[in-house]
Amino acid sequence: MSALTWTGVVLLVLFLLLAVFGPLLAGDPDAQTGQTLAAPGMEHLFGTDHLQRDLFARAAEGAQVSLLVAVAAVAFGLVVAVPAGLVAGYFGGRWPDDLIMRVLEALQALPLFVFALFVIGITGTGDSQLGPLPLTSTTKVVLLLGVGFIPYFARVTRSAALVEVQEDYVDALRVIGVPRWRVIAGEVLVNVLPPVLVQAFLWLGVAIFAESALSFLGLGIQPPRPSLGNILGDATGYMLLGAWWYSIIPGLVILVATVGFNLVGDGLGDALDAHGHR
Amino acid sequence: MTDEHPIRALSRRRFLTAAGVLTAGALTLAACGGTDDAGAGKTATDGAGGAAKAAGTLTFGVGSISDYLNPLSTTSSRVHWITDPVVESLYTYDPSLASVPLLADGEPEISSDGLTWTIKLKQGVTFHNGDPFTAAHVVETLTFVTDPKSTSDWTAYFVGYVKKVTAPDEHTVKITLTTPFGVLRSHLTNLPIVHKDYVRKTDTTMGTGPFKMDKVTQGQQVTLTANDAYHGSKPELRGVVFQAVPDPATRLVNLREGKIQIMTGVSPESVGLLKQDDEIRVHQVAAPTDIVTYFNAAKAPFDNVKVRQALGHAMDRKGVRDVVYAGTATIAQGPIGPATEGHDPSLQIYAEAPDPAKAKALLAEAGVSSLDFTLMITSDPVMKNIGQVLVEGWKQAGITCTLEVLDIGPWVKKWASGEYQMAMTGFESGFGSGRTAFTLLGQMSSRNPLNFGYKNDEVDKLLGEAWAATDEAARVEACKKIDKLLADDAILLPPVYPQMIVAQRTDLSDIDEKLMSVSRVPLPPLSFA
Repeated sequence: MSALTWTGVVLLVLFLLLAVFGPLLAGDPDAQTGQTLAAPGMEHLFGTDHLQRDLFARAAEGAQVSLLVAVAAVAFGLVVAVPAGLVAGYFGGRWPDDLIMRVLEALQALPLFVFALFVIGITGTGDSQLGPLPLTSTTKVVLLLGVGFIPYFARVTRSAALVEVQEDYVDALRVIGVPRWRVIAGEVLVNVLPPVLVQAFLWLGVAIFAESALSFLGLGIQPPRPSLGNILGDATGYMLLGAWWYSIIPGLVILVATVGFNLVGDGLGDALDAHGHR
Repeated sequence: MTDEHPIRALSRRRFLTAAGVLTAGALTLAACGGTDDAGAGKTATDGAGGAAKAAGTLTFGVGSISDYLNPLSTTSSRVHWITDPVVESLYTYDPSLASVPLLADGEPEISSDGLTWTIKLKQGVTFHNGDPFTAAHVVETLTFVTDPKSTSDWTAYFVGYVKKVTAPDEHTVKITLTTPFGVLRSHLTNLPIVHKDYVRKTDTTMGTGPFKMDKVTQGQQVTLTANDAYHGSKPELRGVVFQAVPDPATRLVNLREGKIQIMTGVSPESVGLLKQDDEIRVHQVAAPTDIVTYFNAAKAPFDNVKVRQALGHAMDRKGVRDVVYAGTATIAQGPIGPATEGHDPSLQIYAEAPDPAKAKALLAEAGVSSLDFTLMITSDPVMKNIGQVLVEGWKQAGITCTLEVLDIGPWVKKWASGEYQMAMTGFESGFGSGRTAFTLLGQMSSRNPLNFGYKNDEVDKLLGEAWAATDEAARVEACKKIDKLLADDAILLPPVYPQMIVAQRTDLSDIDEKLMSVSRVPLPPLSFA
């Protein structure tokens, strides 16, 4: 593994420790400590915010919220994109491929962020209703990002599947009478999964970044629930009052998370390439 | 075999592209954000500041510049701060805030039944385009604001009370009322008289004031220039530039650097910092910058007065004052604050800090085992802060409150149709109501369409008396009683009364703080040292 990958691993472990164990160690992220904008110190490791809340507790809770949103969004994207990409790849060049890919291209033509802004602009930042399903602002962000990721995941799946169906074992399976759907859902899926999962891992970083950007603008996770983006958004008004830590801390956590996911994802990609099945 | 590996092709480059798109999206949105705190990094240009100052032009930094620049379409301070030097009213405020004639020639003549007001107009006054000021303009202005179809904020002040407005001669106006309406004097002190051709225009205005509208760059900048033909004492300033600086922090830096000389909407946290700066003076004045809370009393759980009272007793007023307003606000009891007629400083119903025991007892009396409700607030950062502090306070009494943050448009829509349990927003009433509680209390009348389920016969009776009274003392007395009744019924529950905070540079003469208590920032008397 390269030094860059190791750096990524360290950053990612730091972020995961904060997101997973931070909320257990820290107290209530909404509790008022009695100190407004206290600088980082022994009592408050990351200082306090403008509403006297402990920033370590909020950053930890925010990291957890952001991570969960990212994981859920990527998982949602995968659940839809992988089957679509597999089918498209298996029928490469024939009508099911065309149909799926044209739909996905239409979706991809809308930039992810513009798409999210558009939908939130219509439905509002509060809770809404999708048919019979109640949608909280958090699930809305998950779904929006997830839908935005579908074309990217589907394309990776498709191109990997295109390569895979050329392999002799696929013809062999068909010859001995294995149904088409079992070939796709069984052998092809298993062989396609590694590159797709690496791609998904990289996109976890993008998802954290996207969620933060939406929440920063007040369109994502709603207060009092913290997320890295809305903490940063609140902090912008206090930089000039000398509260540097208030902006720096959520900013650093976002940086650590996105760079961590990116470097580790790249490292995984390299590893797969070097020891790939080809 | 494909010639590129899917992972390599899509990894870092895709990530960076996506990151770039996201960042660009965020920046674009912030830069064109029309709201107060979109976080834009726009600053006033140097040209608007230093050089202009030498020529006697004042630069005024505001949060946003509305596309509407007709003071008859709204009572919002955002519009009126800009149009106030341009337009004048029949009456105005003297230094002690008493109403004195301005465009009217003397006191109105009121018939013995109180139903007819005859007002003589000052002669020899001209509009900025040279047209003489005559009764026709006053009639047109008043007719517009008394027409419900105008959809102006002002109609709420006149509709149902004013029957017709006529001009017996060129310099006399006769107002016929449906019922005695003493508070009309206050309304006529606040309502600007606009040139009859400009009454229905939305993006500009014309009046008789010491400054005239010059250049308007929509949403960004408005320039006023001195009116050399002004009928009163002429201003020393040659012009005023209103510059939109959406981000309060940027506005603050602009003020410290001298790019702007006055800023409104100073955040309470930055007052301490500004006070250390010798070149800045901060004005903190009790003004009608109210926080208004509404309950939908037509539906459970807030149809029960005990549930509302429980919420009132568990409200963290102290937290809001200390945490959100950095101690600059006053703890509230009734809806009427210290700058408004009818404020009662001796009223003491609710404690500063939450009283969970009392709240729980009241809820038990009401037969409510667990209270869980949604508070609908506007997306203003201050409202979000207040909301979060209140949620924490109520939690101590076992009350669960969820915040619903909406932009002002959707908020108003839901509020006007009663689609809320509890709603809260900020409300500045000085330009419309002056010192009276007309709009603040008006909504509590059981006949008001914006009142959902609250009916108190005593309040209805007192409201009628208050608005009919020509005698100010009688009106104040009635409002005081209404304030107590509403506080007892826990139907309007502001946590605190905030101050109006305006900062100015010291090379400019002092803003009149007395007039700030009716939301004004009077610019014509100002001059550079």
